[in-house]
Amino acid sequence: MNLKANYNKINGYILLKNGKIYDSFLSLNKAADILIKDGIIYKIKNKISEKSNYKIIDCKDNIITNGFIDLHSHFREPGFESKETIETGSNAAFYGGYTRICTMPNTDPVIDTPELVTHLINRSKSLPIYIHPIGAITKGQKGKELAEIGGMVESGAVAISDDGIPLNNSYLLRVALEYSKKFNIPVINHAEDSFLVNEGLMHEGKKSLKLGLSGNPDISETTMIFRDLSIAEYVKGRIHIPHVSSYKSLKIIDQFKKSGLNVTAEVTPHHLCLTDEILNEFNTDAKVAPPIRSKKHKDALIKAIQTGILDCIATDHAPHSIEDKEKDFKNSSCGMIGLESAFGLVNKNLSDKMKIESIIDLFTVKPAKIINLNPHLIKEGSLAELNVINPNYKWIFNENYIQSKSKNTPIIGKELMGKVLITINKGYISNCKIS
Amino acid sequence: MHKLETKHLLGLEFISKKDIEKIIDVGFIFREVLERPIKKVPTLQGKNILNLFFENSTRTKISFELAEKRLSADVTNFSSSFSSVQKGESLKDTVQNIQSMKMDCVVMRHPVPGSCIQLQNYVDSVIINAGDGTHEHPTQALLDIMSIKEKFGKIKNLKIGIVGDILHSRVALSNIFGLVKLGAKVKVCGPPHLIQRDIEMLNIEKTYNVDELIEWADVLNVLRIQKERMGVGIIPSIREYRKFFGITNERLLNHNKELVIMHPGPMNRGVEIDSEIADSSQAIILDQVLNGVAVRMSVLYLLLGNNELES
Repeated sequence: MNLKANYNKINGYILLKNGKIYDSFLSLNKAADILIKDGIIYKIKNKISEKSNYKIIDCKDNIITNGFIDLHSHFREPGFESKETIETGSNAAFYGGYTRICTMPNTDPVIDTPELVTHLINRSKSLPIYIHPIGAITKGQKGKELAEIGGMVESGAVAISDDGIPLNNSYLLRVALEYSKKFNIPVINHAEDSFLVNEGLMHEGKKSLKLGLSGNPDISETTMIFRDLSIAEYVKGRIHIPHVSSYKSLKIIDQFKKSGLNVTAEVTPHHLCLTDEILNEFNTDAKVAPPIRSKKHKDALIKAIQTGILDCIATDHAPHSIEDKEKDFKNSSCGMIGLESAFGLVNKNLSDKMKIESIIDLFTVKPAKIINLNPHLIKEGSLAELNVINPNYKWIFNENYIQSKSKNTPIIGKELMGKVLITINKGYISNCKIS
Repeated sequence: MHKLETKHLLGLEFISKKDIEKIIDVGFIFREVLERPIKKVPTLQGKNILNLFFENSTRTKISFELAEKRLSADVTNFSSSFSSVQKGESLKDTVQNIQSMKMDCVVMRHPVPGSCIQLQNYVDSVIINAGDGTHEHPTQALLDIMSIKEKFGKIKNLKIGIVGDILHSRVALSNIFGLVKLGAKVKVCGPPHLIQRDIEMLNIEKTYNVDELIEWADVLNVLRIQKERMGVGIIPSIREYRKFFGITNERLLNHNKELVIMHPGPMNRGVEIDSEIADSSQAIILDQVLNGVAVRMSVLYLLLGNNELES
C-alpha cells in the first residue's frame, strides 16, 4: 500500500501551547509556548495569547525537542529503489522524528565521488529532511583504492565508510584514518572479521546451538574493533564505531577512550532492546549484521549507553523487499528498518533507567557532535527544526502506518512507549496525530 | 684547497655543516666555469669514474656525466635494471669488478635504501650516492641549497616549504638534513598518510594545509607526485591531489606574494604544479639544473682532486 506523503507545507502561524521545551544543545529546559510563523520560530514565551489565525496545537504533557539525527541509514537510492527511495526513506525518517539522516554509500553506484554526494543532497532539497551523505572509503567499496575523500567532504559528505563491508586491509584503514585527518571527518569501519564470521547467521551461543544455525561469534567484532582502535590511536586519527553488538567491545572502547583517542560509538535500537530469543521462529526480519546477541550483551549495552561508553543511537535502517526476506534463513538479506520505531523502542527500554532528557540527547546532540553538525536550535529567529514528543504514549507498532517502502522489522505488533507526534522542519509539518 | 672531512658522499645526514658549505662555495666557482666558452678543466684527468645506476634515471645520470667529463675524467656507465640484479646476482658480485678495474670513484643509484653505504664494505673507491631508494639524494639537496643561496645570499633562518609525497621522497629527506644543519626553518606539507609519522623529530614542522605553507614560506620546493602511487590507490585521483595540494595558478594568485618556486624535476605539469608557475619568473627550476652540474663538479673535485684548482 502506497501511503501519500505524511506531511504538509506550513502556512501562517502555528502555536505550540502548554508544552515543555528541551533543547539538548542549548541545555534549555523550561515550560513555554512556541509561536512559529512560516516555518520560523517567531516567539518563545509563557502563555502566548491565541489568535484566530493561529493553528493551535495543545502540547500538554508533551516535550518539544530538537529534531532527531540518524548517523546510519540506508536509503537504497540509486540502484535499489524497489526497497526504498530517497522519498520513501525521507517519509519514514520524518515520521520517526528525524530531521537529518546520514545515508550510507553502499548503493549502486556506490557514493564515491563528489558528484554523487552532491546528487544526494540535491535530491533532498524538496524533502522535509536534510540528507548528510556518508562517502565511501574506497572506490566502489572494493577495499583497494581510496575514494576522492577530500572532494566528497567538500561537497558535503560528513564521514566515510565502506559500511556493510569490513575493511580487511589494515594498511588501507591506516591510510584512510591518516588522510581523513585533513578533512576533519570520522572514519566508520564495519567491524566484523569476515573470516571469524565464517558465514555465521546469528550470534554464536546457546540459542544458535538449539536452533542449529551457524554462529557468528562476538570475537569477530571485538578483534576488529581492537585492531581499528589501535590503528586509530597510532596515527591519532578519528574513528566512529558502527552498530556495537557485544559486551566485550565495550571494554575495549572504554580503554581507548580513557587513553585519549578520539573514538565514538553508536548502538542500534535492536541491539539495545532485543536478544537472540527473537529468532525462535527463525524470523528473517530479525536477521541483521552484526547479529542480535544474548541477554548478557544487551544488558551490557544498556549499561554502556548510560555511562557514555556508547555515545548515541543510530538505527542502521536497512530496508529489504519482501522477496529479499521471504527466503530461508541462510539466503535472506540482513537488516531491518528502524527509523519509525527507534524512539518508541529505545524509550520503552530506557525510561526506567535514564531521564527523558538524557534519552533524547542520544538522538540529538550526541550524534550531532560526532559529525560536527549544527542544526537549527530552539530559539527565536531560528528555522523550526523540532519534535513534539509524548514520552509516555503507549502504542502498537502497526504495519499499516509504516512509511518506509519496506516493512522488514520484527517490531511489528509490539508495544512501544513514547512517540514523536509532530515533526516540523524546513517549513513542513508532519500530519498531526495526537492521542 | 683543503679537502672535505668526509671520504664519501653518502648522505647529508653524515657530512658536516662545514663540508656542505665548502661544496656549495666551490660549486659557485664551477658555475663560473660553466659560463665559459670552453667548459672544461683538466682537474680529474686520469681518474676513472663508474656511474653505477640500478634504477632508471636520465637527468641525474646526464648531469653526473657532464660534470665528470667537464673535469676531464674517464667515465664508464653501467646500467642495470633492478630486476636483473634480483635474478640472483648479488650486489657484491656486481661490484667486485669495480675493485679489479681499480675505479677511483663509483657514483651509485639504487632503489633500496642503504645500498651505497653497504658498498663501502666491498670497494675502496670513493662512493657518491646518486639516490638510494627512499633514503637520500645528497647531490640534489646540495644543488637545491646552492640555488637558494644564489637567490637569497644565505640559508640561515630562511623558511623553506617542501610539498608533496614526503614519505617516499629522498629529495625531501636530504633537503631536511642539509637545510636544518645550515640553520634554515623547514616545513613539510602533503597528504597526511604521505608524511612520516615521526618527521617532526628532525626538528621541522608539518602542515596538511598547503595554503598555510604558502603563507609561511620564503621558498617552496614542489615534489613530483609519482603516478605509480595512484594505481596503488594511495592518491585517489589527480584532480583530488591538485585541488588540495597542487601549486596552481589560482592558488598562488590568491596569496599574492613573492615566493620562490623550486622543483627537482621531472614535472607533472597540471598536477603538482601548473605551467604558469613553472615557467614564471618566480621559478628557479632551470637554475637548479645548471647548479646541479656545478655542484656535482664540486663534489667530484673535492673528493677526488689532487691538484690545486686553477682560478
